Amino acid sequence: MGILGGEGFSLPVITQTEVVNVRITVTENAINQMKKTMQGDEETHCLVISAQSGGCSGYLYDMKIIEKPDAQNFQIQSFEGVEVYIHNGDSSLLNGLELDFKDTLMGGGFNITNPNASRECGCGQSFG
Amino acid sequence: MHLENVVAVNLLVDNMADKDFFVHNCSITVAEGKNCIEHINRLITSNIISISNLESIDTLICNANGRITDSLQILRVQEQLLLLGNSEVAENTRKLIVSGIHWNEDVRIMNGDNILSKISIIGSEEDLVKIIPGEHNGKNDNNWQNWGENYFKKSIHKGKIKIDIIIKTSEIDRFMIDNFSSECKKLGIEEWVDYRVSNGILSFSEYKHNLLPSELGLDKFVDLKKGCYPGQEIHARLESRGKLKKKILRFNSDKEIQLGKYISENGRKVNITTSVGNTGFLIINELEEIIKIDDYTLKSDELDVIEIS
Repeated sequence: MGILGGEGFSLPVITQTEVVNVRITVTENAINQMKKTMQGDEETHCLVISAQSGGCSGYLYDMKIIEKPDAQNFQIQSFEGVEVYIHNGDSSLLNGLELDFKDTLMGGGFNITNPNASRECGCGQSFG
Repeated sequence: MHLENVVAVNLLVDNMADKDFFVHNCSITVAEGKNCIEHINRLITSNIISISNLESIDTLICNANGRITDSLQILRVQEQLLLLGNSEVAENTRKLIVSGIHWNEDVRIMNGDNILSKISIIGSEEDLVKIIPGEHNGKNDNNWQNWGENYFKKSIHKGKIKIDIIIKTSEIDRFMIDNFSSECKKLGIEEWVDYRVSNGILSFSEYKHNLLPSELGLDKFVDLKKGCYPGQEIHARLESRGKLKKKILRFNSDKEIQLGKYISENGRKVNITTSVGNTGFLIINELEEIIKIDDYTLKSDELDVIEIS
């Protein structure tokens, strides 16, 4: 039995407590693109925008279209029938962001502008 | 330059007893969950993806400007990671770790401060090898081993063995009495600092000056092939075309010099980061063997061994 095992031995778990009410904006281009990608699955699927540690600047954006997860701990906004989920744990990092879509051959795709970011990586995927 | 000149007057180390121990003032964080390795790996300068059970990897946490904010010794114990960092910045480091957990990943972060401790026992090889469990040769052991409920790792510095032990704080006294009777003397902070200066072991006294890993000679803890981590862009640029603006050196002075920033007679900027007795570490913006500051004369030399503590 190691130092971390054994009965009656537990350490205090650290949790993130700062949760803010999230308001984001999504441009018309981004909504159209999300609908195109979802191909009519808006009822069952949603877009989850999240942040995780890493990247050159400290945090990385992550965007996934997935089956709607358990809504507990998420804040949900609907844009013309497309639901965008943001987890409470990411709320202070992502509140106020604008999601856009650029249909260009170079540098195209979804683009996030985040008012909480004091710096961003050149590739646009990392912020800090 | 000759290192012998620098370390020869390391009086406190020379006066140490046969066996001594030091209780580190480090912070201990425990990460667990099936994604904890990937999560921590995204934050640090080394690659721990393949870390095996009871292996430890020394690493750094840097900010987006590439400057060191904390150093970590990461030990894997089965499915958990023990993160040994600097107590001065423990709160910031934990906040950074917790705030970046992905919503869909299984990671829990726990605070082990005051519950777990790291101690170092220093002594001669012949004395200590008889006491520590298992068979040991004269080489450094890369992996930790069990010592009862505790974990230990052996390293060799200038003919003396240093055994790092992770132990429940409440068990330290009993562990020392059970294994060493009263032969082991507890080192004070000055004696420990003297030991680490003598053996090229850096601490938060050096990291807190907003420096790049290469300026402290810590390039071996930076893996530029692992992919993105905070500060990686800066480190990569420096490696390919950068010129170091600062360098850490060990010094030996003719009399004790206080910590702080000085200008040498030759106009070099000198930052004394650690000073104990007549020796210590300094950071200088251009190499100089003999540094004259006011009425002090410092002989400096590059570090032969650089570890993090």
